[in-house]
Amino acid sequence: MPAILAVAVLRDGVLSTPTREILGMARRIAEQTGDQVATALIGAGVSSFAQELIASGTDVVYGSEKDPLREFHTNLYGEILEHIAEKAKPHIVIFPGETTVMDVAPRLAFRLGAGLVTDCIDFEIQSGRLLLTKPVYGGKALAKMSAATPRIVVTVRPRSQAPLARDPRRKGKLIMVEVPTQPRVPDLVLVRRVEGEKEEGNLEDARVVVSGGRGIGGAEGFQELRQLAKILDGALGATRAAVDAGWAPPSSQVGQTGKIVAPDIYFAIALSGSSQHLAGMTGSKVIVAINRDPDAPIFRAANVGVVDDYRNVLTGLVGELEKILSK
Amino acid sequence: MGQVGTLIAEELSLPCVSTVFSIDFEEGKLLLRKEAERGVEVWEARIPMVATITSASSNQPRLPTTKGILSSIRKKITVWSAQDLRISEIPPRRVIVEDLMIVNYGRETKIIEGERGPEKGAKLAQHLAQIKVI
Repeated sequence: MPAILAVAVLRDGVLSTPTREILGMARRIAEQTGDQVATALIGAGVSSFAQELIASGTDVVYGSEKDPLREFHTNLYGEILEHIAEKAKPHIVIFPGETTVMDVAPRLAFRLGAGLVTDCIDFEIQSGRLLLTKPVYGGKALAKMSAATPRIVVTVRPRSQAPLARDPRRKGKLIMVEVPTQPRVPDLVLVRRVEGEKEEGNLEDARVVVSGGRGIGGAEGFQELRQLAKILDGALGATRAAVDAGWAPPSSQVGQTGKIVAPDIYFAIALSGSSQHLAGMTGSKVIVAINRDPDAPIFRAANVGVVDDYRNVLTGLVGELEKILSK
Repeated sequence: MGQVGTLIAEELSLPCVSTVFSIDFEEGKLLLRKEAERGVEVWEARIPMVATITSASSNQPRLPTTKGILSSIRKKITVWSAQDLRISEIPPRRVIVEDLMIVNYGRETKIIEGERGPEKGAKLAQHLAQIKVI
């Protein structure tokens, strides 16, 4: 049976959220094409996750576990995936758009002689063919792409696809795969990992995000945004410009090179709305823009807008919110 | 996220680190720092290797010096033809662009009107409560 192969990523000992999202996407493609959904699961002690993957939409799990696989190795993982692809024979391979595995996708595409479409946000099946939508030209336009090769490798932007509801009754099987433990290409050594600060709350899972940009003018202004975030039990976000200026911590950066968020409310304060920033937040349910410049591009992406100096607006907003929330 | 750097690394069978924002050379080894999901990762590599870089503040190009600009006039630029690179034909494309569209966020923006900033701020809070997002 033709297959779709999803590549699972473990983070902090659990399946990553983007992994669940691509399983949802693979299952939705399979509903229209009749494909089987296979998942590659690589790591140490991974077979315990097989049931979890099956409950999230997988038919067959190809597991590969060896102790050297505990840390992520681009080249070794690439070779293992090539090996799994020989067995699963997928015509579509889907990667979650996480930095850890993003380096593997081009290598695997090369080895499989497959086309590669990165950063997909949507898909459709048109007369049996898979069309993938992705932002191009710095997010100013969208392109629909299809494969010119029998196989295609896809990476999917986090939070652009919905995961399936877990169904523990779903049936599937686990196939363990013997793999090499030494890559052909010399691998690199991860010297250390410097964890980002945790103080700002979990930005990616927050229901409310309060973000500021260059127009905030300094670190003091971000204290006011933190106050608004605190009232709404939300997290602080920032544009790259504000992070580069040292006003907000790097862990708070939202956008193409930062985090991708989709909260219920996104406050975009004193930020113009560059396409790189929009790439990280347009999935939000309600976007509130506060900016002095009525022509700022952020207003085109916003549901609600206020044209004024943010300091004046925040005074009234915070006071009124405290009143409303204390009721 | 670009794919050309990693593809070149694969063609040359070299290791690759993507989205690097700083590179240091210590005792014959490269230390590469990259942004990752949970903070920063530091990778160690030996040359030859491939790195793709981000335009972080640490990667800003230096301003050319007057001396450099003057000496650039005399520098020869090597131009390679497709034949020099032993490329006889353009490899077939692997993906097809079927359609291009302008992004439409599909959102109607309601602008909160008012006399002064604090009044607009209060009205914004009332509006958010009214549409039941807070």
